[in-house]
Amino acid sequence: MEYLDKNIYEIHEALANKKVTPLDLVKEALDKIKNDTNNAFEYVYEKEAIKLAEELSKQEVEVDNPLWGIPFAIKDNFSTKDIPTTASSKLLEGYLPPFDAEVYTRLLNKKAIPIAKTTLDELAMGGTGSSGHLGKTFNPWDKSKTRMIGGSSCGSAAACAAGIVPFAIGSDTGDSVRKPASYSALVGFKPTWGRISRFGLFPFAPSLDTVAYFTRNVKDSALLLNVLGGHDIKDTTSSSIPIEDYQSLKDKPYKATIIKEIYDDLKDKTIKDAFDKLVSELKQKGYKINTVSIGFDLAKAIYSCYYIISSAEATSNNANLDGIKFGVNKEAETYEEMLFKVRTEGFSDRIRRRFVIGSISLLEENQQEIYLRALRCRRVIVETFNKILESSDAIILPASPTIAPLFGDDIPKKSFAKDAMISDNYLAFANLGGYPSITLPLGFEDEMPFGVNITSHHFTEAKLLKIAQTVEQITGLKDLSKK
Amino acid sequence: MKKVSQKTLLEAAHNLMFDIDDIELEVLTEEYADILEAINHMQTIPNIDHVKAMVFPYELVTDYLREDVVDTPLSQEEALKNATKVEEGQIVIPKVVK
Amino acid sequence: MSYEAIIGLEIHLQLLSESKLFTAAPTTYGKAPNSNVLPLDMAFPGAMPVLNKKCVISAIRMVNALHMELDRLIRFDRKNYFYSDLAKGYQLTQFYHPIGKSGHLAINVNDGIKIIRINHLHMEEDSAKQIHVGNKTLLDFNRSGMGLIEIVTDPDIGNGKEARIFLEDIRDIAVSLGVSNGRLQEGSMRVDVNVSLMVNGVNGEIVELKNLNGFKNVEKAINSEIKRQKEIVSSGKSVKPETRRYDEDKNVTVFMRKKNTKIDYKYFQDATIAPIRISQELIDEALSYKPKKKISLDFLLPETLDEINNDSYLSHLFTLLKEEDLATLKVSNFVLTRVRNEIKRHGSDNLLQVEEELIKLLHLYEDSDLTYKQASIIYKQLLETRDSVATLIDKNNFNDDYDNKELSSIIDEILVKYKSAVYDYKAGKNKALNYLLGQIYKETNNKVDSLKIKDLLLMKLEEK
Repeated sequence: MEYLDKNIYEIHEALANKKVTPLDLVKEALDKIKNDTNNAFEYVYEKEAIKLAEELSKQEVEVDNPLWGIPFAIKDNFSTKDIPTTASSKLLEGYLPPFDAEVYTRLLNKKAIPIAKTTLDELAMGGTGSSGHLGKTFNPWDKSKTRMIGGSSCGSAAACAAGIVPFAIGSDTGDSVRKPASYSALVGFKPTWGRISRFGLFPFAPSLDTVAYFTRNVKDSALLLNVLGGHDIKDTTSSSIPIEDYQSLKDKPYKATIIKEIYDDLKDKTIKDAFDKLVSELKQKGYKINTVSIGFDLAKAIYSCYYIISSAEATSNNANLDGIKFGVNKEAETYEEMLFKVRTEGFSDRIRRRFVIGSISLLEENQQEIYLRALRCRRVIVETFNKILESSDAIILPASPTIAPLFGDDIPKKSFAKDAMISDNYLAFANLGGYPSITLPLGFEDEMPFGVNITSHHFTEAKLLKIAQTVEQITGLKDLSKK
Repeated sequence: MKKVSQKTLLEAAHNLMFDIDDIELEVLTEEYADILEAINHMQTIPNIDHVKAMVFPYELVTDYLREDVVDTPLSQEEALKNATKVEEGQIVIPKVVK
Repeated sequence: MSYEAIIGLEIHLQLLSESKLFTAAPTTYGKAPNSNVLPLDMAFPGAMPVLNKKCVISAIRMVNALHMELDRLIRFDRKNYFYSDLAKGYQLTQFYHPIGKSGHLAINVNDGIKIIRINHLHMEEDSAKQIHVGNKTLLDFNRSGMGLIEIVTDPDIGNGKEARIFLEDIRDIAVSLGVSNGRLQEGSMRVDVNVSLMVNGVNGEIVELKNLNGFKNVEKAINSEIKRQKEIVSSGKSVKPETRRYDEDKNVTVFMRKKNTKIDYKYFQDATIAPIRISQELIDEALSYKPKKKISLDFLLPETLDEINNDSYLSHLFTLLKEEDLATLKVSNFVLTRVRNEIKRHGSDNLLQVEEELIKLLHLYEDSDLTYKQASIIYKQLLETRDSVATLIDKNNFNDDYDNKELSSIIDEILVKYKSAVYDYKAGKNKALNYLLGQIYKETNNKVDSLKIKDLLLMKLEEK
């Protein structure tokens, strides 16, 4: 009997009814990890998880704590004390952090059991799930191993999609959880920027970075937000707006908006049809759905705006990686030579190029025209979406214009300026604006999943989760996994 | 359009304390051209250069300040366990030239 | 040709606080290397900065004292560069929005009062300490992340003396407001000086003077640099932009390095720190502070402080002195001579027995109700008899035997009596002064404050 392909509440019920123990769950997870072929793991808590599960198995199940004894996976860009943390970068191999990330601490306090640190695109910078030091992470839905699961939270998505863990923690700076969720039939949820403490999350672009996570259904997502959300004095950007009871989900017809330029960019008929069908069914449920135009130029600017801002922030955030205090050191005659060796060999060329771009945009002579222009553009984009979200409860669109792409589809590299690819890259608007945004399964094409994305105004997670649950009821797509 | 020479790109890399080889430099040059096109595109947004830059995703102000109270620091062992070379509690690096 | 020296100062003050600017790691000195750090101080990924209230209060006090405009919204920027002592690869500083702008300080100079404008004041974090030994460099991150404020003046200073007076004033303000202990020698106050020469109304290149320790040295360094620049210009050459240090022995500035093409620090606003609104309550809290003179032992040498800390009775006594508001230079000196001697000879047992009375005695001494000599006598008797201080004072019959007039006539007599000693003194023999003092002490039965005698004697000698 296997349990880990179920949702959190189902597993919790099995634990409460003594059908299964935490130790059974951990053994099941470790066994599945051993046989997994998706290359999703950086570190597996073999001994630690067994030890923890043995202790828990001696205790009474906490019936009012659904996370008790539940195994989970966490992206390897969260600091975990004395557990190797690499951010899938060669430079950080062997790094043993001296402290725990806040979200990790909260999960440990709830007696959830960490089972693995998962792969990511190097330093969370990328969307293919193939640029980490361990290479490609595969999509469990694609047995030919030719399709990506997307990134950067590729390992967390793969672990959850493969039925190894019922939930997995990731981070979302541009679409790093919501895009992979679309490619792997998962719920991927990024709450409002500031809703969850980022203390211990390796910063990529702090003005955009958000803790986010994968679950198998919307209810589990709501549960996790009640545990992970809320102010943390260690992260001054975390909000002191009180959290709500996100689990009391009651249906009510809302107003949702489709963005014309993004919708118009859709080419895949299956996806378009599935989305249209969803829209008409929502209307049947009493939803009011309208279409708003933001202008092609602004829609096109979303991704480049995101790219410039995130690259600029990233080049500074990763300046601490010098191999001196931690990370892979190199022999050299001088400090300068050492740093050159550490950073040239430690980062992939892709990362180094992006750092250069970020750096150039911050130079005094360029800052006005590049970095600051992107920040100005950010305001225009955000004010546009704020306005929409003031008169509508949510923005609803397909999460991706295609099913999971083939590896190599992005090479030669996509030129985001020339080929707008608006519908493929728009999700970053929710990071520019810090909005809560959720992706959930919408349908299948050639047995590969694709998702729908819903985004709402700041700190309206309760409403967003209600809408998402309505969508989930309509599609009937939940608690999915692929062995 | 704000053109940047390959020399500038290479210099920026060196200021970030790493190298990029000739092939990478070619790719970088193309990527940078993309950025230029993107920022030119942004100028099609009306009045863009008169909009106030936006650093945070929404208006963010706090009045929280940490009281000046000491927390237990890392032990020297914890602080240094990730450093490659340590002598008498200090991290050893090759001499700094500049 | 007309020359005018144009001088601006950049002053770093290390802030007095229990914990660092952005982490709760202790700021205590003398700890084992790398044992006063929390994750952010060594830039372990994911650690986040949380601003220290005490440091903000200190900054507000200085902003107020220097008549500056306070920016009520605190924001931090990143100064990006690589250096071995900079853990994060950037320094958190306030480049775009300094907490204070457009202030001034009036200083007393020879010909009256001069206003020195202060361009801005900002908070920033300190770097790690590094020691270069042979072909390696040793890093200690204990200092990394400590709070600093930087005060940048406009180029309103005209010479070394003005710079010194300005710096001493800044130091005094910072010390009296509890902002910093302002020790130039130890690096808790650091000064960079920009010196240029305006020749016939045209600005010259700026030379930066660095690594200046001691207020006197700042004055001398500036003056010698001005002299050097004048010589260069007079000989028809031009001053080069460079960084120089001061050679104390030769009283000249020495070339350190050329000013490179300006480094681009790629400043941009940090997004890991939520902007902080300074509330009126916080301002009130900061400014309600009444400068106290008797608050710290900052006037003591670090060696002496170490000695106090290492001696269980002395450290106990100084804690008491602080509580009693007796931790002044005057009382400390008394304790460090008299009491220290007793401890050396007999340990602290006796002292513990008379502690309460000792404190009473020290209060009388601090308030100048007793002279040093008198306090010493009582102290000695206190240890021997363990009588109360009040009793001992009565016994000694110290009622002001000598008012100034009487003392004055005694001194006059002595000066007549020992004329040869007066001549010797005038001829530069300092020993003669001690001889004269000895005679006066004898004549007054050691009952008058020796300082009082000395002052009066010197005054009279001056008149001769």
